[in-house]
Amino acid sequence: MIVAYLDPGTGSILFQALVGAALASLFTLKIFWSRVKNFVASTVLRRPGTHAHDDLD
Amino acid sequence: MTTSTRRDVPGSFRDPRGVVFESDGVIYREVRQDYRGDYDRLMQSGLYGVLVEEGLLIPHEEISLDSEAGPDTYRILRPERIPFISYPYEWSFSQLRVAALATLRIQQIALRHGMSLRDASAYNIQFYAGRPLLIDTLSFETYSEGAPWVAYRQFCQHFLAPLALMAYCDVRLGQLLRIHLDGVPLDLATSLLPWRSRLRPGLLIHLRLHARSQRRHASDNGSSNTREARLSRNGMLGLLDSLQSVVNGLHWRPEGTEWADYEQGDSYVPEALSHKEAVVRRFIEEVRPESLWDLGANTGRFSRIAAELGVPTVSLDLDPGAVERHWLSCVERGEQRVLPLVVDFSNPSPAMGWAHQERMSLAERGPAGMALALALIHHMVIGNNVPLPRVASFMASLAPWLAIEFVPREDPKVQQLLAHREDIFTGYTQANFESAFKTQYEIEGVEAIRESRRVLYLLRRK
Repeated sequence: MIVAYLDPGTGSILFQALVGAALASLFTLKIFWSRVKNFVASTVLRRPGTHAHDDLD
Repeated sequence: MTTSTRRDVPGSFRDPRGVVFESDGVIYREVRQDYRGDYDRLMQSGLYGVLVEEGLLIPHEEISLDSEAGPDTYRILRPERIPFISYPYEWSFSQLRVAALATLRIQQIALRHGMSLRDASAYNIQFYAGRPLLIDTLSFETYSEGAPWVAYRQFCQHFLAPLALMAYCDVRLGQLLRIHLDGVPLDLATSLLPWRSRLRPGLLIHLRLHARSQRRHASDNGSSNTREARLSRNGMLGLLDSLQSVVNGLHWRPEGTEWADYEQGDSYVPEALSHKEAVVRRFIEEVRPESLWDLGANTGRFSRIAAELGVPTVSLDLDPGAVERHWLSCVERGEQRVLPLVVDFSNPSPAMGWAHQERMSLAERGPAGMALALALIHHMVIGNNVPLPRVASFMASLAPWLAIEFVPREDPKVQQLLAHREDIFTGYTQANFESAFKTQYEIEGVEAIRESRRVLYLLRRK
């Protein structure tokens, strides 16, 4: 249940539920892709990888 | 619980779980008992420490102030003092953009500590030492897995919509924030944005489709079940990442604006300019003010002198292009003492919001220790038809010291202002300037600028 001291807006809350799954998938793909790039950079090209996204548990 | 010295800050009333008040000139934040759990989590989860270390959250001290504590009080905090409160409608494009990015970054860090922002108001961000800083310590709540972001609507209205309008339509549309205190309504933003903005997926999603969803559910009266609406943790991270990408992708460059090349087109020869700089420096050194407002600062050439002398400076200019350039040069130089803001001195920010008290007028945020009014007087008197005595009395209300430049009628800049209008300004003379300002001030210094007909005055309020 959502309890907020500001009106979060019904349309704004329902909209997040609607687009959330798609945004989650895109985000997972992005993390996966950055890990692949890091892996290639660090093992094949022997460059230190960057950790653009460390938010994903 | 109220004592004679306590004064609740008028703009702090929306959130019942805390209040900001002033006592003996010091700002405090009272944390109420019903925020106890969230406050303890903020402090104990490590979130407070990380955010303060990253310069994203205002540091505070917990203090015991028995005289101010009531039965509902859990803690009283003394936050670090922000020298000058500015508002989003006074920020240039890049200032609003970095404030947006700071808000998203804070939310990402909060999630790692099991918390979430319960509001994303642009008014909760202030510029301090050249960086955006969250000043509302009570903005956090415990995150529960699956809960949508309650501040999503506010983020889009306060940040994304005005930024998109400034980048895609006209930078002056940032002023819509001055009318809409809770941010630009998304349906208004989407009706103004050009068709090509749809080609950017982030704007399509977070503005257009979001606005459509708001419209669809506008008359629900609670019939739609928001209780069952869920956003997974990954969905939340995806939402934030997507907002971050779209904000990062918005740009605006000040080329071609009215004033952006003003400094280059100035009527000064180099010797006059360096003499003017030397005189301004000497006047500021003589006064040694605690703070300075540079009125009509353009891209900040003279604000920089004050900053070099260690004076915290607020630089006001009406041109968003000049302020954008000034801000970007401050960022590049790591300037911490200067805050450039978009303010039209002939129509300065008014007091606004509930009971005219939520947002302070420019004058209420003073007084400054000293004001600087260089190449400004002719714009007020001739460009804006304000009589000299009125200019003097308003300036005197802002600061006890004033360094002001008199620009005579023969000056090319004045002639330019008079080029296409009837000259009704016969009273615009140096003698009348002096007599008007003498009603408010004592003249402490006068210096004619070399190779120019302009004159600099140092004035002390009577």
